[in-house]
Amino acid sequence: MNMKTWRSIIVPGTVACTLLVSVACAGSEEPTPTPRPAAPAPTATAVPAAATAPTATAVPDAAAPVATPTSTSATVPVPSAPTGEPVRGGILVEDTRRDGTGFDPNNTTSGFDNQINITMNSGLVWNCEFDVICPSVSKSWEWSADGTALTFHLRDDVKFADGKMMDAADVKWTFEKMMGFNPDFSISARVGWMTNYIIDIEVVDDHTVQFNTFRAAPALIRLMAVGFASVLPNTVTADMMREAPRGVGPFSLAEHIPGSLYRLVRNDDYFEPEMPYLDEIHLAVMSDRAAIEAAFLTGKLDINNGAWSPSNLGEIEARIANGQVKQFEYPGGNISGVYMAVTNAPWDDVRVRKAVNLAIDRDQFREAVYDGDGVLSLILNANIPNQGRTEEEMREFPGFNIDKEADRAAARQLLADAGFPDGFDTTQQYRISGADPAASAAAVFIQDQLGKIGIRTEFEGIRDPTHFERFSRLDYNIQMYGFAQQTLDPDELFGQYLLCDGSRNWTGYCSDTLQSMFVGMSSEQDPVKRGVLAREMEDQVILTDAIYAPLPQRTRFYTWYSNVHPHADGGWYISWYMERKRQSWWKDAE
Amino acid sequence: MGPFLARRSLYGLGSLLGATLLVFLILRILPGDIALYFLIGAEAEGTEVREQDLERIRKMMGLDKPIYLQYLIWVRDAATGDLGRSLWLNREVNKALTSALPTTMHLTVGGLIFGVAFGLPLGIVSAVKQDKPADYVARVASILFLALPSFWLALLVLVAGVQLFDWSPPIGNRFLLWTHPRETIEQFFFPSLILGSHLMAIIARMTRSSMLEVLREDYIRTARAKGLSESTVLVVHAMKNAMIPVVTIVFLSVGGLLAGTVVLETIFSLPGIGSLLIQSINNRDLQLAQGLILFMAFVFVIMNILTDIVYGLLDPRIRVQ
Repeated sequence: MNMKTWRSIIVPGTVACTLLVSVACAGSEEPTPTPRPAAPAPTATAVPAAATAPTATAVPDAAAPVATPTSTSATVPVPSAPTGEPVRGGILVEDTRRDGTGFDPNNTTSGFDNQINITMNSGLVWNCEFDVICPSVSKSWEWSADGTALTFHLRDDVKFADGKMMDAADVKWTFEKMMGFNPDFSISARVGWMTNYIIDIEVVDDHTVQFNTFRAAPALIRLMAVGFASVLPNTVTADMMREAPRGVGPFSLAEHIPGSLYRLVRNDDYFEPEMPYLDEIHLAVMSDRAAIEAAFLTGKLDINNGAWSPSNLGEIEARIANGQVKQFEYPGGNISGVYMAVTNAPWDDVRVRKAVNLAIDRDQFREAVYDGDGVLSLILNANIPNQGRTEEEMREFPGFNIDKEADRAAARQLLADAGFPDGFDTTQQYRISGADPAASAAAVFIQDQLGKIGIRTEFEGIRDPTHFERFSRLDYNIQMYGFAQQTLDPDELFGQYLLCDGSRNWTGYCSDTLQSMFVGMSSEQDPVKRGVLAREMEDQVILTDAIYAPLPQRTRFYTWYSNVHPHADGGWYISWYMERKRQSWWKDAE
Repeated sequence: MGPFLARRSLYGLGSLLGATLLVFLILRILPGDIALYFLIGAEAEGTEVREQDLERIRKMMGLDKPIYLQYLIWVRDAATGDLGRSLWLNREVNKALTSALPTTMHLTVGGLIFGVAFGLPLGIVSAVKQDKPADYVARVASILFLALPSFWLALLVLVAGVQLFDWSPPIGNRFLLWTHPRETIEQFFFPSLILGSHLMAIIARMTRSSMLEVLREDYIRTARAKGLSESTVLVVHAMKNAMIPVVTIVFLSVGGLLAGTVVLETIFSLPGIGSLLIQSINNRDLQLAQGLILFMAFVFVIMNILTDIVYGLLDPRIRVQ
């Protein structure tokens, strides 16, 4: 071998060895490896002495109308029976868009996680019907006379996945965990805001637990009904929750093929007699919309959740017509609208904000963005009794006029009054996300509508990982976004999005008037009166302060084969985050 | 051969180190607080986040250290086979990789088989029947499959399958050829065919070009003059020499096929490395993304080395050099 050959080996070899040595030595100087989460021994964590009072002060303003709370034992509704005679057996196949991020129902956040975890977990209560709350691991509950104590009477036949029988200590431990009082777990990103209501939790006896609240809080029971508030045994650790589900639900996990499948089987120890009816549920992990539709059309999926693409719409309509398939149409739970960063000029001028509200043609929006589907909406969900307004009532609001020319003329005048007779240039942000494919179409539509009154916008797309950060910093001008709610309770809407220090106040809006209205509404136990107060707050936000330009709600579709019987023919389904325990679903015998 | 292998291996190691640095830096400069994103969820809908939880997650992800230290730790661990842990998946990156690898290998090997099985004959026919109708058809087909994007072909298969045959790909399972051969073939046939279509076009064109060059050589004319049959001339004399550049292309294309699995795995719901990579990047799951990209870079490097070796084996002139 000649010198040239040796040199061609020695030189790069020396360089490579030097690099390797430096890496190894640098690594060896590193005092600690990448930390892995410790597995602490489970301990009952003491509740800290009176937590800081929530922003909504405990004692309502004397001037605010508050109905006298009355002590009532909660009525205990029973879910309506499915149509027809349930048949025991069968395998239900559904899709889920992604693998779950864990089996801890309290500390996962997405609807996909909930869809998986809720079949294997149960809370104190659940949404058994549309806007109806039923007992789950509790048998009954009651509020105290002044509404500051909520007492649950627990079932004595609830067995967790590890065989442990549930008692009040488990409930206390789980709720304290959700509220961030357990240092081994993060506060629940979804339901942790119940700290705004709960002072502490008392174990009255083995099967009685009492939640003491700062004030009357009708929203609390609704928050407890979502899947993220499921009860866990007080012996679990964070590591254990990452590995396997530990709660109790109608089904248990038999197999998980990452990226492919969750196979759930009937939990024979489930506390509801005779339920679930299904033998198994298969959740196939599928992220592509075309593939999901193809799988449904060929019978590989029993259920499809979502709007149909134009290429398959005709086929589905034909199958609905011949009875092979059923469909339930419902307005989506998330209210959408145009956010405006009210701390940034010129959006700090209410006249500019009102002009935006007037400019947008809601009926055209439905045609252009939702292909003719969708319903008009303000910010309170129109489907919730005592809250929502009819379409006729909404038409009275600015911007909902069918005659848009009159609206736009008024908008131009407002802009001129605000010092923009020729309009102005700005940027419009929009979210790039698979979760909201209509966002870009909506952005184009909004650009067009604002252009008609002289507001010229340039687009800026923002991906999910930075979206939350930027909007929490109010680093935007205007964007279409929604109020992602899980309870559809006005407390969640106003408390998180519209109060001065709301955890998702992404407009910078802060109104003393709204703050004082909130306490009265939040603590009002009469649902009719509460609805009136919520509407007054809605008027403040939309009519007076115009911080948000509401857009129509998307219509969603739930389609299933006729041999499948989902609960109440889908009529219970109003939010992606809400209950789909599937305990009362069944399939015709094959 | 020894010094050659040693030299190529060293170059490969250098390439890998360069790849680790590039991957690491690019993933770090992507905007977004990944600890925050982890806590609020992929749909960014969690609301309650505390600073202490953020700090805890950052520590778990190793983000509390200086960036150069994060890199060195990762390279050191990777050199010992530890690619770290994915918090999003709640499992070790190695496990996620080995779990997804069989699916991707099925798809990649399937694509390779289709690419070679269709590309070679197409190229040979095209060369032998130069300027005849068969040649034109083959060349048009090659250009067509070069131009058509794989995602479009995949959607076409889905739509045609449903509309014409009431068929859609199997879902919710991960089949392996050695355990479920029939189901595996059903699951991977179309995605492999689509994946191999681009390679088929490249092989066809390269084979045609190479064969035409060889067929013009004097020794081919001599072979024919000796009275050998056309098939003997083609197979025994022409193809052996014409295949040298084709084999090179095939080996080099394995890396490209691997990259091409990303879209097809998503559309056909195959739980392979490609769909895992997409998910990891969308979630800003740095450990997983780094590990997967490093693995792909490793495959590229190995295939390049193998290409050089095979080329040398096939061509004695290269061996002598």
